[in-house]
This record gives sequence, structure tokens and C-alpha cells, in this order.
Amino acid sequence: MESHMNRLVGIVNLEAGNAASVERALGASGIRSVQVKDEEILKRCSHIILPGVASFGAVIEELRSKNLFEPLRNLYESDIKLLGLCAGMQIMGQASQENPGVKGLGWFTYENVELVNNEERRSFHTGWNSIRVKENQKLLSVSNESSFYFNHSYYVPNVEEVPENFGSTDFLESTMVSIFKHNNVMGMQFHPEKSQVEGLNILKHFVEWE
Amino acid sequence: MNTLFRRIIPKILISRHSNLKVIGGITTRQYETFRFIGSPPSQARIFESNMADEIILINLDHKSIDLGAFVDVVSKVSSEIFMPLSVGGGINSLDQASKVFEVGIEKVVVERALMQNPGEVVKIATRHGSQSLIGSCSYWGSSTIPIPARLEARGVIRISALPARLKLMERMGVGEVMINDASRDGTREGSNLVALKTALSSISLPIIDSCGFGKTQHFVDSFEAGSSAIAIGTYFAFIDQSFMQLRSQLANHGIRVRIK
Amino acid sequence: MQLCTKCLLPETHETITFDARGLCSVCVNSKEKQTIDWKSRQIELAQIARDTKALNSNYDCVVPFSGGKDSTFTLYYVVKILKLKPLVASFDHGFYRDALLDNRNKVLKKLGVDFVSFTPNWHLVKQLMLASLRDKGDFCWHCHTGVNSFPMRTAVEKNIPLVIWGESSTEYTNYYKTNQFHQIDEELFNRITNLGISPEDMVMRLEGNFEVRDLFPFTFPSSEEIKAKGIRSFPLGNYIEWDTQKQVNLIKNEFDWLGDEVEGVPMTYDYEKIECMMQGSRDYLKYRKRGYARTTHLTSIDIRNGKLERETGIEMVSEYEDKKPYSLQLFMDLIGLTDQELELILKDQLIDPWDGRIPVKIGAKPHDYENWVKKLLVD
Repeated sequence: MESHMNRLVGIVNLEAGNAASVERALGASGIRSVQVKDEEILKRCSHIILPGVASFGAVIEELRSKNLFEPLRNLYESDIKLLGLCAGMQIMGQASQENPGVKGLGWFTYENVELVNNEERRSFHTGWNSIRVKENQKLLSVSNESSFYFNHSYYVPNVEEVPENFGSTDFLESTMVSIFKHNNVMGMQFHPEKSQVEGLNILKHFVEWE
Repeated sequence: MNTLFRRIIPKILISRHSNLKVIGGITTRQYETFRFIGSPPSQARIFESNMADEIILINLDHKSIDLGAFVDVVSKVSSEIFMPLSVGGGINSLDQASKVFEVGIEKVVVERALMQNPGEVVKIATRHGSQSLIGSCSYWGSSTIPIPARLEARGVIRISALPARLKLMERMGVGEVMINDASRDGTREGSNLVALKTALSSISLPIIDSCGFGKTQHFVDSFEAGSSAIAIGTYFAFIDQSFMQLRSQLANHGIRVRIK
Repeated sequence: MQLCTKCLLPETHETITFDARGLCSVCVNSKEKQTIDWKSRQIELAQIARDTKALNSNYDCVVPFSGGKDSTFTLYYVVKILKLKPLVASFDHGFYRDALLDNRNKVLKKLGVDFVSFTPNWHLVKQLMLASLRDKGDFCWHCHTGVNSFPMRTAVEKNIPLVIWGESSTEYTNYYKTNQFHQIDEELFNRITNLGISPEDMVMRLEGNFEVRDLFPFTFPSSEEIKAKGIRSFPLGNYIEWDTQKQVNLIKNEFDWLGDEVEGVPMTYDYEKIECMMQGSRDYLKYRKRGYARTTHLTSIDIRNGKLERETGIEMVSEYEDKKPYSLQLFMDLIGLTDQELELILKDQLIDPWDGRIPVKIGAKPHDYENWVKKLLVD
């Protein structure tokens, strides 16, 4: 209960992100948040959300130009809880096929790969899909009956550092990591702010994580 | 395998009420205004409570609802929902599309712009990505009733022209295609499965089927034929069947839909 | 039409699904309910009652009340078991039957409670019935919305922190998960109650003949209003195991609550839906749209509880459901509808695969029918 009083939820405000949608989704659960535009606010937060909707490269470039890249990178394994959404999750790895040569935050060793479609019908991973979790995944607060909205063309194939705590989603010939939790970090490949009640609940779950 | 859930997408069609002056949600019948059925934000709120998969919001009244007024409605609808929102109706340029994207929507729907401003459509696809662009095509599917002149003038094409039009849209870079049989619009007599199958074999993009849905079996048939999504304007307005009820029935028919 | 392999509910029942063995979700949920830890839920409820009393409001809670079996039991429970002080609130839809009003009178006087009632504009009610029937094949929009809204608005207006309803919606439908503590809130109003039409929407459907303020009695308070006042609103069925038979016996003993005959239903079921003159017509329309009605629902409950053989249930259904209610003509006269107009409306309201066949038999005249005519056909 005391931590609740000290809680400050910050959403990194990027043009390559949709901070406003996330802010509104948190608001629906009665959770107030602040927009993180500089290092000073970043450091005062107890929880930070990094929503990314543009490419891997665009998100990294904007973080660098706003002098947020290094400060953010240093927050791994700190007391501050971090959540990456969509591209925000992807940049927590090393690199991405989307923008070769661009370095990610490097908290995890994964490299993002392109979703390949060798089937007759062209499909983007744009739509609702489910997540496969092991039975005792209470840490993630999702179940096999949950459904979330995805919209992306590159994905995280595995998170070596997280052998247990993740959920995966199958699409075409690929199996991607759709959600994971490790140390002080959570990643979600889908858009919880566009996934109705279940999305709002999982955002709330992150914010209540201590 | 395409594991995505099949989507059912309510269409909120807006027009200005001539007496009450307010912007209301309407249903149409063969592309003419049929009835005013509610307030757009209120309908959006109800669909959110019912966990609809997505909403398509279309401005059918460009003469009395300009871009500014439309953006206002989009904003009000968007603030009621936490699901993807696609909007369209008179979007003719990258500039206009960008203005609606700023509100926080997922996709724009273009129809006339495909023919009248193809360059702008390509720009939208390039700037915002193919996944954010739905190309819509209205055709006249009836073989017994000839296409009304007023609709042909508005750009509704003959069904024989459908494959070529769809291929053109695919080349322009749209991410999804919505096909609408104007002859069945609002009739609830069943959708045009022949046209759907033609469309599926003409292009390799996901297809949103629309117009004519009135019974559960219609939805089942369309999904089994291969549509990725079904967009409906009239169905929920005039039947004692909610979104969640329909979805349960579809699940009972073996269709992969989200159910709570 | 596919029926559950155990009970008699068909595939057209709202939100029903079937498992691999053909067992319906209502039967599955009913079994699941037996595994719930009701003891711990009762402890929770007792805590909620304590917390509420500590607030020292004028009233501890609002109890929505019709006088039917569920609201009567709920009121009894709130007063005698939870020992809370309720403000009893009733929305008068215009069609309460005499026996039900006698029951109400007995219950309210024997318990000793404050009671408030609201009756909406009769002209508007008739317009709403017609609009709702025309658009949704269900003429009860004003009742669904009014019954759900009035107690909530009473709580908001009088700053009462708690509203306690009766049966949980998860008893017979899947709008919420069985184990879920669902609230009676705006989301439920939009999901289950208002037929997909808010009062704002209805103003538009009535072509501007009425204003938004006229529809106020049917308007559920917004989530913001409810949150601002800190009002909790839930069904008692979230916290106690709902046992209709036990509850009916209790209220019969406590209050001399009396049952009544209902059109289209065997006399053994004299405790369900005895409130409304239009119940027979309402159930008839459901039969025309979905191919099943009240007798199917009631026999299915008994089959589920092992109190009735499936075969006997099937016989009762075929005897009682495939009938036009005697009062249907009265209903049509009331809102000004011809046979042809009704058939035209119902044609579009079919939930397939039901074929919408028209029953030939007509039911028996209800014993209080002449009173209905007197009360309803005033103008």
C-alpha cells in the first residue's frame, strides 16, 4: 500500500510511439501517468512504459536525439519497472532485420526477424491473436483464453535469458515471443491499449508490479 | 497457418440529420440513407462493452460534414473505445489522412480516392504503411436489377470490373480490401459469396466482406469461403442479437472467433 | 436445431456454446458453481456489510425491487441476514399484476422498510414499446433500462454507497465468466440490458419526437458519476449460492408470498415471472424468434438439478410453448399493431436456424385478464 503512494508511472513520449493512447488506457483503470520527455522525469518514475509503433530504427533514433537512450539503458536491473510495447519491446534486444546496423538497448541477446509469408494469401500480423502460456504463469497474468491486438512485421524469436517466463504466439510459420517478464522488465509485442478489457488489465498488472 | 481470429467489424456510418441538425449514425439501403439509429459515440461505447473486434467509421455526408467536423466525431468515437478504429469517407490526400491518424486511429479507408487521387493513396501507403490502409470497392452484384445510374455516377462498378479493380488496389499498396455489394446493402438477404470467391482468387490480400448480412448462416458462409473479416452496418441495428451472442453462435459453427 | 444433450436449451439461446460432448455452457457452468468456495464469499459479503454500516449513511444500500421471487428474497436477506438498512426502489413499468402487488404489500409491511417507486410517462412508454418491438422484436426496452437505471440513479442522487441486486447473470448466460465477480455497471447495461440502444440512440430512433431529457428515467448513470460517489453495485448471487426452490419456499413461509399462473407455463412453475401482464406475449415473441421460451428454460433448470426427466421436459415444452398467448391481442391493441404488421416485424427477427413457425393453438384466458384490460386500455 505504501509503494502505491510513491508510484509514478511515466510514458515515454515519442512521435514514433502512441503515448496518448496508452495514457488513456491507464486512465480508464484510474491510473494517472506523466509524459516522459527528458532524463529528469525518467529518473523520478517508479514505472516506465515505452510504446513504439514505428520501426526499430525510428524508435532508437528518436530516443537518441532526445538524449533518452543512455539514461533508459542504464535502468536495466534497477528499482524502476520497465515495460516495452510492440517496437518498444523489440528495441530491448540487440538488433533487428528491419534496420541492419542499428543497435538496440542490448538488455537481451535477441535479434528481431522479419515475419515471412510463403503462403498463397498475403497476411500481416495485424489483428487479434491468442497467447500460449504454460499453466502456472500467474506472473504474467494472461491465459490461453486471452486475446490481444497485434500489428507488426518483425518479431522476437526467443528470449534466451527467459527460459520460463514468457508467452508465445504462432503466426504463419513463425513462433514469436508475445509477452515476457524478466528482472525489472516486461515486454509485450501486442498493443494492450487496443485490446479492450484484457489489455487494460495487463497494463494494470504492470503498474501494480512491485 | 493464419492464426488470426476472424473479425466482425461494426460499421458506424454518419450523416447529418436534416431536421435535428446533429450528426447521427445511420443505416443504408442500397446506398441510400435508410434510418437514423443512434449517436456515434454512444454506439461505439456499446460495441466496446460488447467487445467488438474493430470499428469502421465512415462519413457518408461530405457535403455537410467537412474534415474538421469529421475529425471531431472520430475523436469522440475514439475516446470511447480501446480497440482498433478505421475511418474513411472523403479522404483524398496524404494530408487529410495524416490529420485523422493524429487522433490515434489505426487505419484509413479509401474508396473514391483510389480512382481520383491514386498518387495520394500510394503516398498514404508509403508514409503510414500498408497495414494502415484499407481499400474499399463497391460493386453492383445483382444480375436481375440493372445498376442504378445514381450509383454508377458515384463510382459503384459493375461486378465484371471487380477483379481488375482489386488488382489495381493491390498494386497501389493497400493492406486490406473491403468489398461491398451495393445491391444487397441493407437487405439482410445474404452476402454475395460468388463475388467474394472471385475476389479471393483475384488478389492475395485479406478481404473484408460487407453488405447483405442478416442471418448467422450468412456469416458462417462468408468466413468458410475465406473472408478475414465481415463489416456490418445494418445487422446489429435491427435485430435482437448482440455481438457476443453472434460470436457464440459462430463459435458453435466452428469459426475461429474471439469469445470471452 | 441443436439442443443440449442434457437440458433442453437450443443453439439460439443467448451466448450458449457446446462442448465436444454436446453439453451446453449453462450445464457446464452450473457444475462449476458447485466447486466455488461459498463460505469464503459469504465472509467477504459480511465484511462488505460491515464496511457499509461504518459509513453511517442515511441508508446502507438500495435494493431494487419488483416483488418477484428474486427481489423479495434479496430484500429479506439484506434486512434479516446482512442487517442493513435499505431504501427499497421499484421501477413501475406499467404492467404489474394484482397478485404481485398484494405480495409486495405484504412483504414491505412485514419487513418494515422505506420504499420509493417511479412510474414513467405512459405515452412515452407506449412509443418506446412500439419502437423497441419494431427495431428489435422485443417490446421491453423501457422496462429493461428503467428497472436497471432507477435504483442506480436513486443511489447516486441520495448518496447511498451500495446497491444489492439479486441473481447473477452467470446463472444462465455467458456474458461474464462464472467465477467472475461481475458488477451491475454501465458495461453490463450496454452488454445485456439495453438491446444495443442507449437512451441517446433511442431519441434518434424516435425521430426527434422526444428529447434526451424525456429519456432520462431510462438512463444508467455514467461510470464517472458512480465512481465519483464510490457506489458499489453487484448481484447477491455473486456471494451466495442461488437456490431458487429454497428461496421460494422461504419467502412463502416468511411472507405468505403467493404464486400465480403465467401464460405458456405449467402451473407447477407458479413462482417465476409472475410480475408482468405482458409476460406471456414477451415469451411468445422469444419463441417466434428463437424457437424456445419460458417452459424450456424452467424444465431445463429442473433437468439440470436432477428433478425432472428430459423426456417429461420435452413433453411439457411441446404442450405449453407452441401456443399464442390469450393476451397477445390485448398487447397489439395497446400499442396499435395489426397481425400483418407483427408478422412483418418478426420475419426479420429470426435467429437462425429457427424457422419461425406460427403456432396455431391459443392459450387459456388468465384469471385476472379483465383487470388488465381495465388498467391498460384507459384511453
